Amino acid sequence: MIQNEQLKKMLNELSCHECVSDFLFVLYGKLDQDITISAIQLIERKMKLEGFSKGMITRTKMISIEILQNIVKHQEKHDRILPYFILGTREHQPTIFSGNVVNEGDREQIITKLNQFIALEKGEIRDKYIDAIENADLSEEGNAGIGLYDIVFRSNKNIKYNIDSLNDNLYTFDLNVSVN
Amino acid sequence: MKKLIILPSQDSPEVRFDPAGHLSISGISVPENVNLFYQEIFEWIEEFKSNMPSEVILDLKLEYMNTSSVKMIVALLKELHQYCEAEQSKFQVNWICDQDDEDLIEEGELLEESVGIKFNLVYT
Repeated sequence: MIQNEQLKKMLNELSCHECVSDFLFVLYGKLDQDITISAIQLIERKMKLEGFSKGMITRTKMISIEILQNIVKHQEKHDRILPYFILGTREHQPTIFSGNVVNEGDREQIITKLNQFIALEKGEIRDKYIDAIENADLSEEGNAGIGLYDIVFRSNKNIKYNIDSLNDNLYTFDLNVSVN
Repeated sequence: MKKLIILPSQDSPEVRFDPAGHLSISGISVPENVNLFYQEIFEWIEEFKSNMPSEVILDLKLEYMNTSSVKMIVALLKELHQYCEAEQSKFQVNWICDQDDEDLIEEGELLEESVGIKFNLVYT
């Protein structure tokens, strides 16, 4: 029985409106690197148990690590809204729903990068992705800033996102990535 | 010159670099700060390039990695390729993965393309 009303509502909405049939892995609350690593191990174990192919498991892990590490790096504290990461299946294919609160600067970066990459033809994405790997600068914190490109590339552009304003320059960022 | 041996952790790979020319990186590579982890590797390579053997073999057996690690591995491959060419040493990269894991096979192809050298695909 799920006690948390916000999480219960979210899972119900995904089940009813996003046609998610099975929930393989649900993470709710503040994240850090240790939780991220444990999450990836559990995702791998669960997907093996459900009989997914090795390639599908690798792709899901690669996409998941980018989403989770992005949340770790960019999650803004909010008294009511907590980060979430949900891996489910829709028509037997893995689909990931995630969300966290971001600040104004991150909001602009997300919109610019996602729109730029989503607008590309499928054939162009690979070239742009390789270009990004070769030319992106690493920050002092070791961030290449190409995680969103990676997610768009590996999901074949099967992504949807939504950004809503909260207050005081904070925004909710919700992402849905279908892995196929 | 000493061997470089870094044991694996929950978010970083095992590294075994032998100055005789056999180098290997295996496991997962998703550290929070890739600069901190890969700095030691690049420092070792800096010394290695002045003692370059006639043949350098790099085994890459990676299960999964984050994009920052991919960027570091591409940079490492480019440096080794460049130094080997300058010293006329043979450079071979073995991309080791499961035959059924088409995504890891494709990852190897992406790295090949980024670096501009052909990998030797080895199935486990």
